[in-house]
Amino acid sequence: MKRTDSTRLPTTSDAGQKRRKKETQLRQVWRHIRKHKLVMAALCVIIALLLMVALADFIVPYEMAVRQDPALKLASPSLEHPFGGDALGRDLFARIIHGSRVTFLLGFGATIIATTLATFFGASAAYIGGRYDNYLMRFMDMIITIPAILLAIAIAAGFGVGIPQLIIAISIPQTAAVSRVIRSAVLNVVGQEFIEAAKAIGIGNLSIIFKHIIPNVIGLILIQATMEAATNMLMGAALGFLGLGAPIPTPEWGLIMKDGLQYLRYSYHTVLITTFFLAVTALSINIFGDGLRDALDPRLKGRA
Amino acid sequence: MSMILLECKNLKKYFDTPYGTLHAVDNVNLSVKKGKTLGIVGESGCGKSTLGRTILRLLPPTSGEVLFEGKNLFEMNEKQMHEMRKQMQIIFQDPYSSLNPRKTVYQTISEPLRVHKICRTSNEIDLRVRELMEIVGLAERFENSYPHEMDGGRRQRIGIARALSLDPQFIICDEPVSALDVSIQAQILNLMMDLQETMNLTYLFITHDLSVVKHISTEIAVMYLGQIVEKAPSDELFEKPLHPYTKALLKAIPIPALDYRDKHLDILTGEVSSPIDPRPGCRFAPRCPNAFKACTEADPSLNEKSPQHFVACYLYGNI
Amino acid sequence: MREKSMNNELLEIKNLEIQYVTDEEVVQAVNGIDLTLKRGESLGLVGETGAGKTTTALAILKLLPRYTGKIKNGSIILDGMDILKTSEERMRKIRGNRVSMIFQDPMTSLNPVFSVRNQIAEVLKLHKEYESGEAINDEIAGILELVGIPRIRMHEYPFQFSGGMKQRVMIAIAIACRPQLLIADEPTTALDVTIQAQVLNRIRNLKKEINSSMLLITHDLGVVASICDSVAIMYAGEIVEYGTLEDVFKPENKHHPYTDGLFGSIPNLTVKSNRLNPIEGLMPDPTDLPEGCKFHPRCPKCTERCREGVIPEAKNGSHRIKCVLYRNGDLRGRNDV
Repeated sequence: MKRTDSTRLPTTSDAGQKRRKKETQLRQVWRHIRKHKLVMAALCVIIALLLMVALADFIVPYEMAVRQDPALKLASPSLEHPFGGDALGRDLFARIIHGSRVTFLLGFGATIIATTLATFFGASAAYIGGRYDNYLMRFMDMIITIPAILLAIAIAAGFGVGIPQLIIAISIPQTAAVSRVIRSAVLNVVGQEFIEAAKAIGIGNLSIIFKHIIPNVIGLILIQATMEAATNMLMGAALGFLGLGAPIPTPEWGLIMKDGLQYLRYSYHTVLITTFFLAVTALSINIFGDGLRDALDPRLKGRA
Repeated sequence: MSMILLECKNLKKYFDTPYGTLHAVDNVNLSVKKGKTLGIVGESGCGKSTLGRTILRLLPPTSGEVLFEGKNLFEMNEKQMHEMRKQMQIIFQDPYSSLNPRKTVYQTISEPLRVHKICRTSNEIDLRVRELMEIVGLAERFENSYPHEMDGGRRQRIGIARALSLDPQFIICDEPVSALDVSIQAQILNLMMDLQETMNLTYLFITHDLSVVKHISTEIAVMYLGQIVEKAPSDELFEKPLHPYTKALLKAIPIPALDYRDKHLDILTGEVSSPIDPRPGCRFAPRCPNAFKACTEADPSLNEKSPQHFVACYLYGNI
Repeated sequence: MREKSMNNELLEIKNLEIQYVTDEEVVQAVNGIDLTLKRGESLGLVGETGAGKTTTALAILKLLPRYTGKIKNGSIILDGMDILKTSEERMRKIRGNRVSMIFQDPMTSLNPVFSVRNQIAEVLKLHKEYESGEAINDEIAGILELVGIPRIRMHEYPFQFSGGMKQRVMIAIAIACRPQLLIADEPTTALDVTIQAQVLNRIRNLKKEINSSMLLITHDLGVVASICDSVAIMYAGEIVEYGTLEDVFKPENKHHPYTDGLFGSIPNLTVKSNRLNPIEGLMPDPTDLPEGCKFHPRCPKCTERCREGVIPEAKNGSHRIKCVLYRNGDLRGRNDV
């Protein structure tokens, strides 16, 4: 039986609550993530993949990824070439390692741009409301109707083919779609009384958006971002296949997979290995995003 | 006679809706004396919450004036208003949505201190937060707890501590106890009355609960569809209600006593009419048992029937 | 006092214990309550949030959450039939027909895409046979008439009704099959006072017309005083005081300290007091209830005896109080007839 400290203030003496320790947000998040094995595993995979991106040149020279060796044509994995060779006789291991650079750049680059812009547009539309909200959202509706592929072709026509153009082409329609999601989430938060309380205290609009609104939708933003990152990698691959992405010899996961697809009948390992890498990457990003959202929400803390 | 702290003159707040203009607050005149409590009582949709928010400029007014210590709030620029916010605060009804779920008790209470740079060092802030928590009866061990870990009564105490942190003179209480259980409600009401005495606070107490408003107010204004229909000292209003709406309201309260049953059979019929583009005349006329022709022709004005007792009703003569 | 005959009792709850069990914790929602509801009688179940009122009501309808809600002990006898031993199939025939429930929030308890007529017709068709659509419409019009809604509004949708009118529609659905037992869970809490008075008046008149028993769940002692015949005060899953309206509301009688606390917490309209006398402290954590009397940590009259063991119940006729302060037959302040 607890609750014997009735010498304390009578009104607050009796719930059996322990004092919560003061700690920084970062520590709280770390503590939460450490408790969940799956999230930890996902984090490790992501770190390994990032290391692979950073240290690609040390693992295997770029030369290997583009050099064609007739003997290696559709070769099966061996000790010397752990992932075998592709249809043009290039070393698949080297291509995957170096391909990760372009794929990650596409995936994360477009995601960061789209999420940042979407958060800004979505939050400001919901907070300011009125005509600004109306015009901005109708404009976003318009953008959503333009397919990314069409946009990529248009951009390529104007500014040439290349990775930055591809990133822009992917992030524009995504900004529009995600900002609508964020707007509706922010709208929910704006309607709550603590926003009015903040105004009554005299907190400025920008502070309200950054200190009170964004932290309450950060979970949703993260989930959106992780889903985007995976989609963007695939989208980059699709556009690359059409010749709108990385210039031809550049290794890129989507491209490798598409190449391998043509020879699936003779050699399945190209597709299998690339898919595995793509799937593991997307999965760990999603799992980590989920874990991070839970870690950031104080309401979910303490629930195992 | 104590001095007047806050005064509303012909305050109006209209909203544009797709169906017409909604008259949420329609020509309200009132004044609150320093150190006293003015209760605003009315049913849902009568505009009492909008009134509170308009006074604090949380909503832009349509027209009228709000004078705080003689200065018109609506003529102030952003900077002056920012300073003014230290003087006037608000406590909300819903202890679940009025606190940011992502902030700890400490963060919520200390935020106003930081925004207004009241305390210079973090040590000063610590001390002030602890002091405030003690004033409202929150044990120190809760300072790093999140709102969702606490019950309604304690959460309401956080809201009160936040409002008190700037040492305001005037607090608008928007249904601060309606969401709480009766035993907790009584604790919070007592706390608010204690605070009023020790800190010489002035309250504008908005509620739908007549027994609560009677308990805490020195003066009561009854609102119906955006207008004040009757205003009188608390006891007088309950003993000698004049306006037919006030009478009906008083009769409708279920009293927890044995001899109460079957006493309130002549209850008010019908429901509140629409506040969108209301027709001229007394807003209550469609439900009023005593309505006659004059009632639907022009708005009755609030006249002093007996000292300090104002009523807006043609039954009591009108110019 | 009138002799009770077996047939006179519609609902009998004995030693009911309900827990919500999850992986992490066990919430002791209802801890051994006894209730009797006679035919045509209305009983007010009063208590604060978490007292176990709604859980008791859901148990009567056998609607406790399937995986977490567990009835540990006790029996619920409705009209001679043991609810806890009744099959789900039979229960479906009972719900809405012989026992029905009015929920607190009229805004969310009605389906927005069906007209009022169709929502009432749904219940009627489930439990009765009709020859023609006309027959149903006539019946529905009659039911709506009872709750004060004109026949012409029958085909309207919930959004076309105001809050008070929606609650009347809820009541109409609940009484459509003339249930023997009507369970009303805070039926007027979401309504304004003048509308509440209208709805309470309706409920009172209806009870006379359809002669059903009612279990009214509320936290508002004023509402209880205006429509109930007997009262049970609940605290932390127990009934601490039980009796007729007169037993519990008469200030001269002896009362459980919690009942006194509840009355002391309500601002009095007739007497101007300076401060209220609230109950100190908060409701106990239902996953970790105190030993002995559940109320002892907040009780101003707490003694050593209250802290552990079983708390006996003192009886005097219809009046029962679960408190060590009182003895059987010693609950009236004045000498009783």
